[in-house]
Amino acid sequence: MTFLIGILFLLGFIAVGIPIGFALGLAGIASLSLVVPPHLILSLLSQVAHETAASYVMVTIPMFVLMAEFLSCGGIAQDLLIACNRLMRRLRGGMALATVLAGAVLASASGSSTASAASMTRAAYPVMREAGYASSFAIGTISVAGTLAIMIPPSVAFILYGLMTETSIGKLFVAGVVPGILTALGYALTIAITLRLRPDLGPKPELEAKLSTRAGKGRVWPVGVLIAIVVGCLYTGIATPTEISALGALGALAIALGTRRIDRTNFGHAVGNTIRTTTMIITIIFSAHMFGYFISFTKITDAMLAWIANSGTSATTVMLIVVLIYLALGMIMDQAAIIILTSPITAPLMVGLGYDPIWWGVIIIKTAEIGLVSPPMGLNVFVTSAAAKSDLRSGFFGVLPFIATEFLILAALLAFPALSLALVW
Amino acid sequence: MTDDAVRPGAGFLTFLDRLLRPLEMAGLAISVAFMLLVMVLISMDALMRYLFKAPLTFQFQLTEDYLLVGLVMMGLAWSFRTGGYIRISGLVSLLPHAVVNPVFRIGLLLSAGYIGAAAWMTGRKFLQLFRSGEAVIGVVDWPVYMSWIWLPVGLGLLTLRLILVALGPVEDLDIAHDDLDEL
Repeated sequence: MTFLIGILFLLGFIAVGIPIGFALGLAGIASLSLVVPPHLILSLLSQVAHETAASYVMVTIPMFVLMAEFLSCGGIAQDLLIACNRLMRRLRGGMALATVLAGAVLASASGSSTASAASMTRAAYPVMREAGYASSFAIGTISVAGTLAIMIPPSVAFILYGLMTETSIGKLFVAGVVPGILTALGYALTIAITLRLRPDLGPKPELEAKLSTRAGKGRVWPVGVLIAIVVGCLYTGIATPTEISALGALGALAIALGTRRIDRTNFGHAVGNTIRTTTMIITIIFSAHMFGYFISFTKITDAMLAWIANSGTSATTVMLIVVLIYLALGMIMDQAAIIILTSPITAPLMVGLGYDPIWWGVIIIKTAEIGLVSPPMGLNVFVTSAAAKSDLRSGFFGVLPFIATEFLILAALLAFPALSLALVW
Repeated sequence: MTDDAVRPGAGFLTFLDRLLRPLEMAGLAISVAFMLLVMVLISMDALMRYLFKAPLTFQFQLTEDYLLVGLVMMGLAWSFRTGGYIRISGLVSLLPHAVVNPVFRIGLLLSAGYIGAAAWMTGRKFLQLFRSGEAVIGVVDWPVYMSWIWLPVGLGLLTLRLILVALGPVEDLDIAHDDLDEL
């Protein structure tokens, strides 16, 4: 009962438009006041604020975001797209395939799906339209290509899951590699099938061939080398994720300076965006810890596990119900907020039911990825449509075939945990 | 006529805003400086460790307890002013127009109370540690209060910004813009 009151406080504060970073804290204080004296709550407040900020693993958030910001400077997305298009030029729908490939490469450099989608829209949408692609299909392709950043390491979503559930961030990154590649291949297959069934959505071959001869503004291979080093270090475990994040940011700055892609304005925007993203996320985490203390007091996980055991419901049924809830939440809520709010409850529940916490992290991130392009709140479609100055309805229409593919991949990940766990050392 | 023109005390709020902005920008400058220092220190530590087996032994403590806290706390107010928050406004927007803005204002004042309480409590803790002179003994003896100083300052600035936004013009209530021009 106390738990439900706490949840009602939280939903109420969120529903009236209080920023989530503060709503969680207010709900935590209001709920804790039902079970502990006020002076303890106030002491907890100062302790949690300090502990959250003074946590070494938090370094990964600003550093990976900074790395992405430095690498995004000076039109790198466009140059990546041109390079990928050269590779794909002989295939039908080459520019769409190049968008997915460039999205996958950019995902390895960027922790943020939304930032990735915004960069890809500016780079890919005008050229896709020039090649004759339908607007809806172009927006659909770019929106889903942007989502790859949430699954392919280094992903901020995995960092958040790791922080909230005390799961190894390095292992989570490695677990995301195969599902990320599988997703990119799934998107490529969707493009091929869609263009075979609906050739009118695709390009005019002579226009697309002409675009493949276009030259980029600068070199992209240093970015490829940096990404290879970052992913290689994460996979081999040579260095810790924290060290890799700092080295990645420093390397990205060196590349941006070396290739003359960064100027004073770009630098200001890169560090400003990084500070803003970092403080926003850490405010949410700090407040989520306050609410987390309330959840711990209620012992809700133990109660849920006991209830499941008594009810005779199978672990698989419970897990699938939770996945459906995540898919529903993904349609209406921000992905970072979902992960921070729910993973401290669902991860112990799943571990209690016998599932692997790393695998569960991949499943949550996959549902978040689907949420990024699902109507009515699919953030990536909003971002892409807005940047392309196109209508939202055709954007959501364009992502439909990709959402079907996403559900198939989610089913595969649920059925075969080895797809996520095979590479985890 | 805008809401701002008829609101009592608008001039005073504008004056407070002008006072607060340079402080927020100073906070941001500290935050950025610490972030770049963290990047360099951790990179140097890793390279020195793996290449020369000579890590920077002071790096971990300095980063975790001092730089990271300053990085996060000193950027809070500027980040909020420039739209660095997530809000679900879909349900509120269904309410009558006359109700939406007061609801946002009350929500922000509650938030200011929450962050203000955190600022107050961390300030008390800072003073207590400052008076006791407590230190972490290690390769370098680090004064603990220096780790806490950023909390009351950063959270205090955010509290003032939340109050200013809550009482300020309507257009500031839901900051959807991406204002980085001042950088």
